[in-house]
Amino acid sequence: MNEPVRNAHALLRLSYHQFELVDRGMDGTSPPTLDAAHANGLVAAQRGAAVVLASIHTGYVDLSVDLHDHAPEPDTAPWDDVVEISLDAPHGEVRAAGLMSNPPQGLPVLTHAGPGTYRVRVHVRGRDTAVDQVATDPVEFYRLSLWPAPAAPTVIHKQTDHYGATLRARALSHPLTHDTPETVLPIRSDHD
Amino acid sequence: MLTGGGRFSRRVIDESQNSGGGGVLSRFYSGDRVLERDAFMVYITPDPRRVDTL
Repeated sequence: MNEPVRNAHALLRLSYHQFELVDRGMDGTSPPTLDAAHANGLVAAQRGAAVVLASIHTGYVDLSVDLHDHAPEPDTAPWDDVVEISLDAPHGEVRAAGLMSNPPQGLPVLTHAGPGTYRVRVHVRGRDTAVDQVATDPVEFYRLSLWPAPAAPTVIHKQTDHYGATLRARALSHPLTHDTPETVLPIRSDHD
Repeated sequence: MLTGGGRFSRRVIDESQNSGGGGVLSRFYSGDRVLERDAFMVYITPDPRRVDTL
């Protein structure tokens, strides 16, 4: 009953420490969710788009996906970090891709049951190998498990890698969103 | 911080800020359908909350 209805595997090219799961027509419209992703060190979503955080800055990661009709049993042993989120896919055509990159060939639409809300369980290992580096050969391995399910809070299954801990610590001390005047750094003149 | 003789300064940004900048750039490219080798202009608008420090 929990066997995936589909498996796929590809090398995904990413840049800027992230790749996205984006529904059709939702790229370019979504507000940033990086602060939310940094808070758990791995993944966050808003309507139609999720962002997954990588430790390499640029290069290829190994990505496998398994698509289910029902929630699979958690399998955390082979992984360093595992975080599960909800993703609303109004068009039902979510694909994985790096920023400014096309989706890799060989990966299907991830929202196999059409428009609606899905759970996305993100698994990763290898993020302490080449932090901030360029990886032409993959050193980070990701697995995405998806199944249709109502929206629910984020579930942290496992947090063990150092890279994620670094992101969580930085999210607390230096959030990216600086909306209040007292947190805005003054522009310095040239003699500072 | 690196400084020069002109009225400018530049600062090292951290990894999270770099990621955020990449995301903003990507959303601009996607949202405005900017293709390879397309030209575009960048206008810098001072933040009114910071102007008095210039």
